[in-house]
Amino acid sequence: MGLFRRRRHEKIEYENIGVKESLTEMKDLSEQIIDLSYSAILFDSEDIAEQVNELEERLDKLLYNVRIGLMLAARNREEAEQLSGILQVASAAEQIGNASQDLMRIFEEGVEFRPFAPFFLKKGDEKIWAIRVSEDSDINHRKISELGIESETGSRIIAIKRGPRWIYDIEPERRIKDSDILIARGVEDGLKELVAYAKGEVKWGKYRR
Amino acid sequence: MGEIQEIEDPMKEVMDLFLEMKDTSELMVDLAYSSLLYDNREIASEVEHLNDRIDEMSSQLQRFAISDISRRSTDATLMLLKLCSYINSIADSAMTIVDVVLRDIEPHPILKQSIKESDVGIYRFEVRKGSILVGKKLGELRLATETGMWVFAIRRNVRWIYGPEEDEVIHRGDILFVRGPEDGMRKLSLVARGKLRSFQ
Repeated sequence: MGLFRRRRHEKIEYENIGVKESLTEMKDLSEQIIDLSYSAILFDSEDIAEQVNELEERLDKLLYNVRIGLMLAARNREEAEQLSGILQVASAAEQIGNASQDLMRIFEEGVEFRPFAPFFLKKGDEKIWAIRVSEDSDINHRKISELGIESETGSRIIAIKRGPRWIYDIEPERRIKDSDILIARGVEDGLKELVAYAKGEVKWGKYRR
Repeated sequence: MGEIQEIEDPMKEVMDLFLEMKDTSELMVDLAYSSLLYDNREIASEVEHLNDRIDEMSSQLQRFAISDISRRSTDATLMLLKLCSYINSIADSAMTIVDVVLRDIEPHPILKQSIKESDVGIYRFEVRKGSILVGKKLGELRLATETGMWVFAIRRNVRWIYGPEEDEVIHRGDILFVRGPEDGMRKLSLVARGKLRSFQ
């Protein structure tokens, strides 16, 4: 009897570790997927919408993992009640994934369907790129107005992602910081110039026309 | 730019409302996971309050979508209603999470551990006497640049400040709720306790 109990216990311990790791990943994914979904809508980006779908598949798998792990773990009523709370949290994380994937279906519809698209209205061959600012770039800590990014590169910064937060009100007085992600709209040549500046590959003003 | 101007007007209002709902829903999820981490009923019930805010803003956005926007575009109205329903699902999920804290059964320790081990951790610090943070504006501290940390809520005595603005001044005794990487957390923890006089 003693032997059995120990072996059962070991098995449960093992499964529990699986549940914990799955749950950690689900927590991170659920937050990422919200961020991506809102970005896909705001920046009218199908690329971002595709990433949402990938994350949702992962969330599905992890929820299954958690379910199985928990089913194997409960030994009595009290434990089952406590464990049901874990399942509740995992299901909530997965529900976030489901809702996000549903929302991304709008990309299967026409452009007019997206109310924020006009803000970032792309004319002809304009594109929207996400550009990370490197530590080595000399645009760091300088104001958007002082640089004159639009006249210099023909690209316009429409938003900045700074750490976990988004800045949508891009005022000329705002300073660029390293590791900012600039959401810029422009034609490909201009955007490439901005990338070179942001990476610190060239000094500011090199492409001045 | 003329042709864009025309579209921008009514949508600006919608966009502002939408962005506020978006921020609120993200804050709810942050706080919901924090309530698990600290097994804190107070944080959990704040999520409930934010849910009421989402309900109010939802109705406002839906009303606006149906009355003003539908005259211009049925598609845009439909889209806004879909966005509302999305935001409500996120809020519902946050409520499902806090229910685990609010119900009468003690949350399983695995919940706390799993959130602790997340890539982007949630931490809280008390700002102690002598810390360089006291009296400074959040904006001038440039925490995100210096430490990669982002303050998403502040508890000041019995009051909560959610999504504090850059000009929010930090007081002694404030409890900062912060998200970010572990190494940033260590630095910030020392600074908040007054053990480190600069981020450098």
